[in-house]
Amino acid sequence: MRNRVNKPVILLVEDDDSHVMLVKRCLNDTNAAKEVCRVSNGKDALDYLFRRGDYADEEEKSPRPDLILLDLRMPKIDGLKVLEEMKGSKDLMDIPVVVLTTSENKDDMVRAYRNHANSYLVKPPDIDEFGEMMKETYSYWLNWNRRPK
Amino acid sequence: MAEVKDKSISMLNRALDNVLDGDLTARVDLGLISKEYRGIGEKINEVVDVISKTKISKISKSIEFPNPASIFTPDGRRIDTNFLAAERYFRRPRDEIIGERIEALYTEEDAERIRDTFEESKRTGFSSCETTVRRGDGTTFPAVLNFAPVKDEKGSVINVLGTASDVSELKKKERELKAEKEYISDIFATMPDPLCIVDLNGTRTDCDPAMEEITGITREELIGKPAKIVFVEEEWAECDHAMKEVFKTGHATHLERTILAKDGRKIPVSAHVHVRRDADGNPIGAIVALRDVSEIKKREEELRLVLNNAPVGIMRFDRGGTILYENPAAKEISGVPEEERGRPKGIGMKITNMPNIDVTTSIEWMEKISSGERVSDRVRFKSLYGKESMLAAEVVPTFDEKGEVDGVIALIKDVTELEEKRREIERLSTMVENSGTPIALLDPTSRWKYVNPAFEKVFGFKREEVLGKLGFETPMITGEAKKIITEKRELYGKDAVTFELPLVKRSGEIVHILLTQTCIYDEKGEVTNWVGELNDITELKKREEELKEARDYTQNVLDGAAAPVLVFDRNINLNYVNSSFEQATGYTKEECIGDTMDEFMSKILKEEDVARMTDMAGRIASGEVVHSMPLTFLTKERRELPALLSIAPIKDVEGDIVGSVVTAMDITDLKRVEEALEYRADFENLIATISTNFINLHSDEIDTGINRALQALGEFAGIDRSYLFLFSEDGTMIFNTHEWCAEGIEPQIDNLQGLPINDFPWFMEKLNRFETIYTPRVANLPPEANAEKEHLQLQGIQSLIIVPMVYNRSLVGFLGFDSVRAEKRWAEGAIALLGMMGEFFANTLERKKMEDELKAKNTEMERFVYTVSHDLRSPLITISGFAGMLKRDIENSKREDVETDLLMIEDATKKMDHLLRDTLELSRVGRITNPPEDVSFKDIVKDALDQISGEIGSEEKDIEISLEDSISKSKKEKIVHVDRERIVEVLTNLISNSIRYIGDQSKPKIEIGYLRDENVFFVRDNGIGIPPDQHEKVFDLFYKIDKKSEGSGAGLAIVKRIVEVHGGRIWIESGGEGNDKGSTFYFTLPEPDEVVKNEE
Repeated sequence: MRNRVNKPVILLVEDDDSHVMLVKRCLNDTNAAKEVCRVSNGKDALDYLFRRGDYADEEEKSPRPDLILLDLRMPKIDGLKVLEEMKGSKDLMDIPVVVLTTSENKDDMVRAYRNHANSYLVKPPDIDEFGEMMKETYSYWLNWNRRPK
Repeated sequence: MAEVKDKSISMLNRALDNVLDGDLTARVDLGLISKEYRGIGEKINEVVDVISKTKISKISKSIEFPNPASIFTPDGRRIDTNFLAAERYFRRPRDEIIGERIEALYTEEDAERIRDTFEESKRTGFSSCETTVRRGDGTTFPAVLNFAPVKDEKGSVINVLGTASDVSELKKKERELKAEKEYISDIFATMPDPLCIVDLNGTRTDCDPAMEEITGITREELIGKPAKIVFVEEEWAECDHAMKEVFKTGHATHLERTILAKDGRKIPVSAHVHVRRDADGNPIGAIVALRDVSEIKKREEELRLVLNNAPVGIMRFDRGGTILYENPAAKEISGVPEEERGRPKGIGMKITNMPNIDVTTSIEWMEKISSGERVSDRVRFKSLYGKESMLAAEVVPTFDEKGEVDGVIALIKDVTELEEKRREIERLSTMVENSGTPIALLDPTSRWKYVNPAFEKVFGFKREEVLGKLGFETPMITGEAKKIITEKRELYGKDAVTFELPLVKRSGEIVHILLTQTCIYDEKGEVTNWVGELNDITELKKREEELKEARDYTQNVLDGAAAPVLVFDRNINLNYVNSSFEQATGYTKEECIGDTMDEFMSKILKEEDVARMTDMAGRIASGEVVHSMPLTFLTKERRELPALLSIAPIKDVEGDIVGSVVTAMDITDLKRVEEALEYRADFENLIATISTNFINLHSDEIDTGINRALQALGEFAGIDRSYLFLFSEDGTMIFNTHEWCAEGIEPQIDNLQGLPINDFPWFMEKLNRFETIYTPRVANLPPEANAEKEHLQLQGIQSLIIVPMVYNRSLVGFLGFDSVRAEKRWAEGAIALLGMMGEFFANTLERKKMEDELKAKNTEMERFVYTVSHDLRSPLITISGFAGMLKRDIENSKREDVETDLLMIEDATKKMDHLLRDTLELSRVGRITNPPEDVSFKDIVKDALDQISGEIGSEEKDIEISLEDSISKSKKEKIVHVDRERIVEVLTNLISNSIRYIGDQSKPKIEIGYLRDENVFFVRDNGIGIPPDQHEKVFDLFYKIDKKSEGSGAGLAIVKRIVEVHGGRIWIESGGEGNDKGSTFYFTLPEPDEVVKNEE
């Protein structure tokens, strides 16, 4: 990593534990995260982001992520719904979201981008591609967010 | 100064000259003369004054006036007079009368007047009077005296000059004139015609009493006014013009005028205007003489009326044949078209030159005119207007005052018709005379006037034996004949009366006579003659009798015939119809017989058939033979009567067609059968079409298809409403799902939703037996159907058919066909076909239901496959992911990670195996079944609890699992007909599901039971509950509300599948998500009998 200081805090939204393991390995191997927080469904993800429910008043435990890795198919609330809600929020819309899903369905992909996903990756990710994408997405958004407003 | 002097001198000289000349007016103006000569001027003036005083008395001596002239003193004493006058007029010596008073010369009675006149002259300067002079010899003469005063410069009268003139001659003339004037005025006054005198301005200056009388205006009012105002106003302009003309030309003129009398009467007058002239011949005015011509006008009008309306043509010709006059009748007779009769067409033309009369006629006319004799003749007349006629002409000569013929008056009359009638009569009498039929003529008193030779021949009596006798006195009359004639006489009238009469011949033989009795009337309508035509029909009678017998026989035969028979005569008039015809058509013989073909056809055929069969009469007349021609008669009640017609000609001995016989076969019944068959065939076709359409319908189109089929059936059957009802799932209610209404019929579909079947017990009873209910008259429904009746009558239904819809031996609904506007009777066959229709509808709807289910299943399957594929992919991805990691680790010689990678792969493999097993299990539920058996639900619960007991223990949760009261306490065990093992599986799954989601509970509890009296079973817990949006999803394969929970997520999917395979349903009721909310899983299971039924 060129700049270690600037590694992102990542929120991983994933219901499947083994997939969590896999993603964490990838992040680890590519040295792409400063910290990884995990939630296992859409409802928890939204609670985390909007700081409500279990995550209310728990700022230390749930730092604001710099980037979100989001699965689509999840119980309770699915990934698309999460996307729609957080991208509709002024506070959260600047956080880049990488959709990470098993679905190669074109509809899903289109719908994800339509809901303002920043990138779409099919599981299992190629580790090199994953690493480059993470770096690029993050630095882009970092710069974007730092631009004079 | 010298000039003034000279001027004065010359003035004085001129004055002197004048004085010397005797001019006494020549006084000198003293103001104009210079002072030194003024004395001379005064002197001259003095001289003039003296002279003028003295000279007058002297001057008269020297002047010889033709008339007497005298000078008088102002007090009337004669100073002097001229000699001539004294001698000639007064016949007294001059000297004698000088000095006399003026009045002395005149008669005493005039004296005062003369004195007055004399005095007047002094005041006025001149006066005059008439008087009579008394001569010296005693004679007198009339004279006019004139006096004029002589005044001095101060204006005082110094003398009076008097002259007298002899007016005896004038007086004489005056007297004569007066006499003449009186004469004229007498004439004027006694003139019966109005007269007036008019001046050049057209102003009336005088008029006579007749004028006053005719106008009613007094003379005073008439005089001084414009002459024209006595006439009607519209003639004024004309009057002015005429007057001007008269004065311009100076010719007397004659005018027609109309006087407007004071009382408003209008009097036509003829006016004669004569110009008056003065002695020099200049016009000074006119005399207008009027004559009242109203009487003449009236006469003229009358004459014109007579002539115009005379029924005879009146023409006047002069001797040369020139038409002077012709009246309208004459024009009419000569064929002048009406529109031209108003013009004086022929007047002024010579008859020989008339273009509209042919030469022959005109020559004939000319002869008559020129003969000058009275001629009465007939002439053929042929006018160029194309009229040919016979004219009776009466030509009468007219004479002038010298007694010479100056022309003719021709009276003409068109006698063409009369002539024809005369000829006709001639012809007729010839015919009568030569007729073979006895003809007789009787006068109104029934006296025989004439018989023809045929009469003599037939009866053998001579004319002389009959003529002059009274009707009944003649030898031919029999007693019976008298009776008949007496009876028939009442019928004698304008129309001919025909009747049979037996008469007797001279030989004593009876003759049958057909007497045709006619009356002849004169123009007043009175009978002048009776004409009798006496046909000998003795022979005919005999024949007739024979014929009648034959005919009676035939008619008897025909009347007996079953089919209607009609006979037409030679003229194609209907001659006969038989009884069968009368019965079939309702027309009696009397109503038809004698009809022409047209009359008959319009009576018995439809209009379009009449139009189609116009050639029928011709065809029959030509002897055409027709076999079995189909035709529809109309009965008298306008009912249609289909028939087959056969026509055959009737021929006489010579083979001539004398008529034809028509037989008709009533094919009403045949037609009815045919129509019924056709109807049935059409109906079958319709049903076949509908059925075919149904089979080809896509399930989306089935509703439309049903509506269309209802419409097709409704329209075909001519009913008002067709519809379809389906039963509710539980069979307790009916729903109107489809409806078609004829135009103008109120739809009912919205009112007929969710009606309880208990409202229709009678219908339901029949429908449950799968019977079609046919109600031709709702009002006649039996009392047990009162509920239905009321319901139907509320909708105004008069007739209806209800057809059960049966599928798989169960009633799913029914079709209905209502008639609202009229009662409807259905054919037996149609009802049966409708029954079939019910089945079609049911099948179609069931098919739709199945297809819908299939579709739902397909959707479910798709979702299933999607879900499963996703869920199955998940471990594969883990495997492939970690396989990649493994490879990297080995490459990077990161041994420490290899183990983790392999562990992950192994886990994923196991998980995958689990999923596949569950999937397999799920599919097995459908495929592999144990035969169902009747088993107590209690036993099943027991089995399930046995299986699960270990699980509860291992969970170390103190969960109370209890049987609900319904199971534990029920006397009668609840028996279900199921695959026992599978239902045990259902329960174990549901119970372990409840255990899994029991949450943190102080008193965890699971209840198993069933709803009393219903086939609904349940497993109830007081666990964490399920949010409503998850109630369906939880049954999805591999769906887990919480991923962290144990199990693959296939349990509930398997449960659902098993219940569905048993034909049941499963559903969830829950208080929502959260501890203590609890969930209840309900499911239905088949009961023993139901299962048995399904197996069959």
